[in-house]
This record gives sequence, C-alpha cells and structure tokens, in this order.
Amino acid sequence: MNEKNENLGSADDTTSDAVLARVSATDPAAGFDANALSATLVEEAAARAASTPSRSFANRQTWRFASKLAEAYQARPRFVLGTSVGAVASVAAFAVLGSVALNGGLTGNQSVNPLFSVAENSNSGLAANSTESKLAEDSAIAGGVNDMMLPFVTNHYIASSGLSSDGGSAHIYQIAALADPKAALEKIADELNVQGELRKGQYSTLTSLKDESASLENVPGQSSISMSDKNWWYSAWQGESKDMNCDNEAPASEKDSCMFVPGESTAKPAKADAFAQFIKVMKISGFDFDSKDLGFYREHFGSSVSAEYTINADGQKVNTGLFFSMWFDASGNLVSAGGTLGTVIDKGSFTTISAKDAIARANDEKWSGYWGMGSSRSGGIAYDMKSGAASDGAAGSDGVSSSDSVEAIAGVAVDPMPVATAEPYVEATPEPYGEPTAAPAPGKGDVMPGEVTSVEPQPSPSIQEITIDKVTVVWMQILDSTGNTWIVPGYALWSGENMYAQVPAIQDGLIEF
Amino acid sequence: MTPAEFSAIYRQYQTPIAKFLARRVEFGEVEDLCSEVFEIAWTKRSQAAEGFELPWLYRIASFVIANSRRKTAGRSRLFSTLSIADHAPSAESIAIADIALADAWRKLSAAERGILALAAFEGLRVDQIAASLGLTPNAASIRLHRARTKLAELLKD
Repeated sequence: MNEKNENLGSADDTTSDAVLARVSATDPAAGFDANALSATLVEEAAARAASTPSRSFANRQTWRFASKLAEAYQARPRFVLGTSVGAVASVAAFAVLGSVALNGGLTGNQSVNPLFSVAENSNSGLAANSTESKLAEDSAIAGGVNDMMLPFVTNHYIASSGLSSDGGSAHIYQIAALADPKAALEKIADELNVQGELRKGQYSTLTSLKDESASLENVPGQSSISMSDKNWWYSAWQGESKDMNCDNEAPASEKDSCMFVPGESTAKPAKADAFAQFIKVMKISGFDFDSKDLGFYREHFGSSVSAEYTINADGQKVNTGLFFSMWFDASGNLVSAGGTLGTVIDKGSFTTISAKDAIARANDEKWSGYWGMGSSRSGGIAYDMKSGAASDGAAGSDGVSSSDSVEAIAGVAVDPMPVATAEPYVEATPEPYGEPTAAPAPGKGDVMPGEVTSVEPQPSPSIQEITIDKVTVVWMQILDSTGNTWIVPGYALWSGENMYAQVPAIQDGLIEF
Repeated sequence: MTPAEFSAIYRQYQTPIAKFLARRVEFGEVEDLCSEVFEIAWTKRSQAAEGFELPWLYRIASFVIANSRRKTAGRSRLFSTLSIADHAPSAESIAIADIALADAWRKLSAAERGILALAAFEGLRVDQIAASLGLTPNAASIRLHRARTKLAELLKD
C-alpha cells in the first residue's frame, strides 16, 4: 500500500490513469515493514541534529581525525627485510616536498596571494581564523564530538613510479556574481514583460543567507521570474491566455492548471528568432553567446534553445558547466528560461603542481575530501579537461603521469549535457544540503593518537592503501566562501578503472583554507 | 521548537518517508537514511511550507538518496556528479512485478522516472509533486503528462 491511501488522500485523480496504476501496482516497498523502524526515530534524529554543531564542522573534524590516523599508520613500526619502512617513507616524502619547493621556485614573480578562500566562515559569520571562531569551534567540539560520525576506512594514496614530477601552468577563471544581480533580474523581467515585487522564494532550500533568493510574479500562477544564489529562471505557462489547449480528459487536479496538450505545431519561433531572443536575454544575465554555440530542438510540444557557456582559453573552448536554456510552446511563446547571473573573469595563468604532488595533496587533510557537489567546499564539479586546454603546462597531456593517460582522458565516461534538452531548466545543484553524508556511526574502539586523545571512545578505522597509477586533468568548479564560483585545473586520481579522488592542481597559496 | 515538539509534528511522516526510501534503496539502508532525512529536516525546519511538509520531506529524501547513490557509484564513475540525480525506484525493483513495465521504465529519463514515481507510488497531487521537485505546479503538470505519455507509448512497443 502506498501513501496515497495513508495520509494524502488526494491521489485518486492522478493514479486513476491506467499507466500510473500499472506503475503503482509494482510498488517496490510492498514487502517493507515500516513498523519495524524505531518508534523514536524522528525525535532521535532531531535531537542528534540539534546537538551537532554543524554537519560541515563535523565533517572537517572527521578529516582531521582521519589524517592523524593516517600519520600514525605511516609511523607505525614495520620492518621488511630488516629495513625500516618508515625510513623509506621519509625519503619518499622528501622527494615530494622537493618537487613542491621546485614548483614554488618556478612561480617567479607570480603572485601567491590567495585568490579565494574556502574557509568555512559563512555559517558563523566569523572569520575562519579569528579568536571568536576558534572559541566557537572549541565549544562545538565539547558539545558535539560524541555525535561525530567517523569513517571506518581512510584512503592513503601512493604514487606509482610512472607519475610525472613536472609542474606547469594553466589559467584560472572566476565566475563572479554581478554587482547587482537583482537589478539584472529586473532587467530580464522587463525584457520578458514580468512585473511585480521581489520576494523571498517560497520553496527556497538555499543554505546561503544573503537574501539571494527572490522572485517576481506577474500574475500568480501565470508568469514569474525567480533567482536563487546565482541562478535564475522564468516560467510562463499561461494556459488559455497563451492559446494552449486544455485537456478535458485530464484528471481534475491537472485541470486546475490547465493541462497542456500538443496542438498543431506552428513551427514558431523560427530558429533565428529563438536564437536572437536567447542571446539578448542571456547577455543581460552577464553571458555573451554566439549563435553557432547554441543548440536548437523542436518537437510537437514546442522548441528549445540551450547552450553551455564556454570559456575561450588560449584558443581552446573550456566548458564551464553553466547551462542556459529557453523553451517555447508549440505556438512559439516563450514559456520557460533559465541560466546564471554572473560574469566570467580570466584571472590569468598560474603554476600547476605535478601529478606526484597531487598524490601528496590528496593525502593532506587540508586538500583531501570531496571537492564535488555537496561537500563543505560545495559546488565543485570536475569536468574532463579538453585536450589542449592546458597544453601550456603540466596540467596538459604532457604533464599527465603515465603514457596511457592521454588515452585515459579521452576515455573518461563523461555524462555530457545534451545540446538540446526537453527540460527547460536543469537544476545545477541537486544537493542543496551541503556536506557529504557521514560514514556509519562509530563503534567503540581505539583512541586516536595525538592531540585529541581526550576524545573517547573512538572507532578504529582501517587504512586502505591505494596506488595511483594514472591521473587525468580536469576542470574543477569550486564555490568559495563568498559564494563565487572558480574554475581551476585539477587532477583526478585513478587506480585501475576507479577514480578515487580529485584535487585542485593550482599552486599552494592560491586557495585560502 | 524542541526535538520533541518537532517529533510530534513530523512523526506522522516517518512511515511515508520510510516507504519512499524503501522503494529506492535496499531495505537495510532505510532506517539510516530515514534518520538522515529527519536530521536534515530538523536543521532546515524553518523552510518547510505549511501544508507541504511531506512533499518537502520527499524532496530532502530524494537528495539523500541521490547522495547515497552518487557515493556508491562515485568510486567507479568520475563524472557521476554530472548526471541528473536519479532518485526514482530502479527498473529492477519494478521488474519483480512487471517485466514489460520495467523495460519501459528503464528507457525513461531520471527526471521522468522521478515524477512518475511521485505520482504513482507516493500518490502525490500535482501541486505536491511541484513542491517536492521545486517546480511550479504548471511545470510539474506538464512534465507529469509528458512522462506518462512517454511511458504509455513505450508500453505499446
């Protein structure tokens, strides 16, 4: 039995449809006994969340803890053929550090002032290194450490002999917020003839509290334009007012919103007209497009224009992961649009670290962790760096470790966005809840060595050694502490067919932690 | 609001959320993920729109599932983050009851499976689906119609 019979009580109209009924009949939860769950699950979950300082904070502590364990693991007495492995490890570490130092020397007169910060100060409003911040952190440790969920398995990465020690250079780009994004939104609204007052979005799930979520509604339920963070979207499904057809056979609930059914396509708008409107509106949002970069798709429901914004880096097009789209109904009326408000700034060319240094960086708690979406360094997406995009340095194919790495880049399984999509708006961040989910709850175990020995009991995670045999170069999107997005070169670390980590390849000092 | 007060309001949604999860993950994972959903709900409780608490919880649950699946897949698929999050029941789970439907279900996009599942399994109204997916009711209605039409056509094949 599904929920329609339990407490929603209003689904008969939708499930009366034969197709939905057939789907409903296959309910995968049919054999699930929900009564077997703890009766106090909700209250316990709320209490646990209430006593945990913040998920990002706990996650950061988790990495600190894991790093200490990794250090202890490396320092443990081991003897192979009578030689201390610890001594060998020291030599290897020196070699890596030497490489880093060499890279630092190569930077020459290049500035190493931080370009941006990923310090987690946005939630508390305190500077990351301020006394207040540390006091708050200490207090949080005392109050929430017992609720931390620590990993049972920690990866320790080892560079294979085939990895390169050469550094290089690559460009860094900032997708900066517009000085007045709301003004831009209002200009787009004017262009699309939407009027009204800016107000907080009803269903905003943003964690950012910069009053970035707002919307304009012309007539409720008819047309609206909204923004949250740096994304904006427009919706104007107007039913009869735009000469759509109402489906008289549609279920009652869908009649309320005038079910759209395809009429005879008028082949409107013309492709050139659609492109012109797309380019005009997106220019207001801060992004210039050329018609040759746009995709066009037409079906009996209507047509759409979509494009991913690309950066021209040394003659190479680099994807940014910023997608823009417009969707027209069968009569040629604009019914949906969306994109980003911002501007792309080329911050210049910067030194990149070597593939071997990337391994060391992946083992460094400061850099380790998941840079992808949903992490405390949220917003990150790694893209396959197009061949030649970093040809001016080690981040390019020459700088990539083993001989098969170039092939590996071409062979990476990227899920490309379709040039034309039936979806008028693609949600760019499916994980608005921030940090990665913590690992299973700890059991009782060993006490961590080092500075947090007062914390007990602690679990005893195992260390998994992974030899990285190749790296591929990627572009990484990183969201900084102020909400701006950066596109930086990075390395994806592979062992066999599995990718284990991604780390930025830019030199030390450019990112403030 | 205290955790107890929160529980008094949200306890009624435990079973629907647990079943939502059970349709999409292994039964053994349900309790942990369910706890995670309500942990997140607690931290973001001020964002719940009155009357739309359950769709809002479904939305959270869908992200939790997507995170869980992404982590599982992430070790072997570098660019899984680029995929549209798929939090609908799998075709395999449906195949147990209806093999032909499972074949058609597999051919739908993640977004199409997601919206159909909310209507068919969770039994949500269009406005509730809209809230769950962060869409306008009209957009949800249209997407549901299109997904249902597509599934019907696939079932004819």
